[in-house]
Amino acid sequence: MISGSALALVWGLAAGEGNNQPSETVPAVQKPVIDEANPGPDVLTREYCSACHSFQLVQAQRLNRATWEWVMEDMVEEFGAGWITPPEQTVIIDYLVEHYGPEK
Amino acid sequence: MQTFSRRQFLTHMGRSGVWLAFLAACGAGADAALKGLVGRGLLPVAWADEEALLRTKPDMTVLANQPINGEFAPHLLDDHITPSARHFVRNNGSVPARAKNTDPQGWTLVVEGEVTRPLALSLDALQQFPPVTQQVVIECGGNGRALFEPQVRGNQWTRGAVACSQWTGVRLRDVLKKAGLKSSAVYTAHYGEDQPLGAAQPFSRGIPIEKAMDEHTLIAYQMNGTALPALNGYPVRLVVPGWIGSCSQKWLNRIVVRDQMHDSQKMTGYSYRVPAYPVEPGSRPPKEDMVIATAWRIKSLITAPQATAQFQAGQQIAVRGHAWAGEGTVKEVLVSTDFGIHWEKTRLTQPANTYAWAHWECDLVLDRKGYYEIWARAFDDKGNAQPFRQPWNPKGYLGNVIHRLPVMGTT
Repeated sequence: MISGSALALVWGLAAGEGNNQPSETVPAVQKPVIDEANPGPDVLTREYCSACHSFQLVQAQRLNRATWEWVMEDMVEEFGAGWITPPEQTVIIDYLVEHYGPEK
Repeated sequence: MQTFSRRQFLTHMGRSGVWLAFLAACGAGADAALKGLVGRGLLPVAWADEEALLRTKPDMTVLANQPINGEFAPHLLDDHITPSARHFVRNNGSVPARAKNTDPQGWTLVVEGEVTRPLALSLDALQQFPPVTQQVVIECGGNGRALFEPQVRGNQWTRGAVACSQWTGVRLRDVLKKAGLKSSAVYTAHYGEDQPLGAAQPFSRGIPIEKAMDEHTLIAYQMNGTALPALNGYPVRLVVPGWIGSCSQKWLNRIVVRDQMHDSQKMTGYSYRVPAYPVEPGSRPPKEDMVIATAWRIKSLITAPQATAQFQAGQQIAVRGHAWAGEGTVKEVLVSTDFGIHWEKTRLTQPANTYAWAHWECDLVLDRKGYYEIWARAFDDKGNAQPFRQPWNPKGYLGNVIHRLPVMGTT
């Protein structure tokens, strides 16, 4: 049996007001600072992708252009990488297709 | 002046431990400090000490370490009950500090939404509900993604993002009943303590209320008889049997009962969704044609012998593995060594309980020297079998193509 005292009943907790929101502050993803003045596509791609996740994740994939474009779209629109400018997006997608495109 | 590259900086800080001590000392200022470092490309800070956690899974094939994602080669999954050290890890964000520090202090499970009495349960309070122990197959929805052609985006899981460990916890339905479901309750929304990547929403998924009220759906606080490992959800996770792994929220701390289907980032669009109809490989159906991936399909794994093992012609080979069927039951597993021309029956051992995996075994002989593949094909109670080629979907979910294991025959 469940004793009344063992159960901490909290009344009137509204969504968003509890203490059980994510406990660590979510940092906004800011544009990584790249040391080089004119970073090449390899540096740009590696640094930008690594701002959030292992570059390993990228390296393991072999995707066609349409799919890399889809990935880029999601990163820019949904995952906080809105600072990747359209020209940079093109450079990065070209690099990804060349190096991590479908195996011939 | 001494300068550090970004990588040297992280390595140095990770080793010294000074970094975390510094952050702890900062208290309220830590967030600001974090943000400053993030801005300079020095973060993700939470990753700095995750490397140590990888040592709890020494045999794991690590697909990525930020966030940690890893699977196990099939021959390492031979145990009937998967040891905790060999249970795959699929993380969407960073491991919460509480899990790293094995610190239950201050943890509560909030249950709110379409309930008459919202709850906030401490670990002790949760453990007052009747305990249940059962073996459960948990499998990442993307297990088998690497076998899709053409390749699809995401972690390239091969076959090892599946495990069947023993879980102890309380029935989710007992907790929901205590909270008092309103008649408007149709879906759950699960939240955990892990910090998401980038600016993503906190990782959150849910299940229909019928599945939540199933007697086998657990809020688990033990794995194989001890507290949950950090990487597998300490202190508490959901265990939703038969359904894709993302339903089994790790580091659980909040369940919101909803009056509509849950609509988080990971429930909508193309996330954890498959087309409502078969699609041409490589195509991308419109969003509105995507439906939520739920139960797993009939599947099997060859755990012995090991891939590329060599056997003398005529030598008896002990072949064995597991089979599981989502919401169904395994009826039969057949094996072939000649690319599916001839099939042999195997001896099937029924699962320890509903939603555990079944075990199969047989002895095979290779006639002569050469290259062989051992194929395994499982059948469920509803007339379904594993396909020979992987039906395709754009995010590579629910892959259940037959397991083909290469072996060599020698003279």
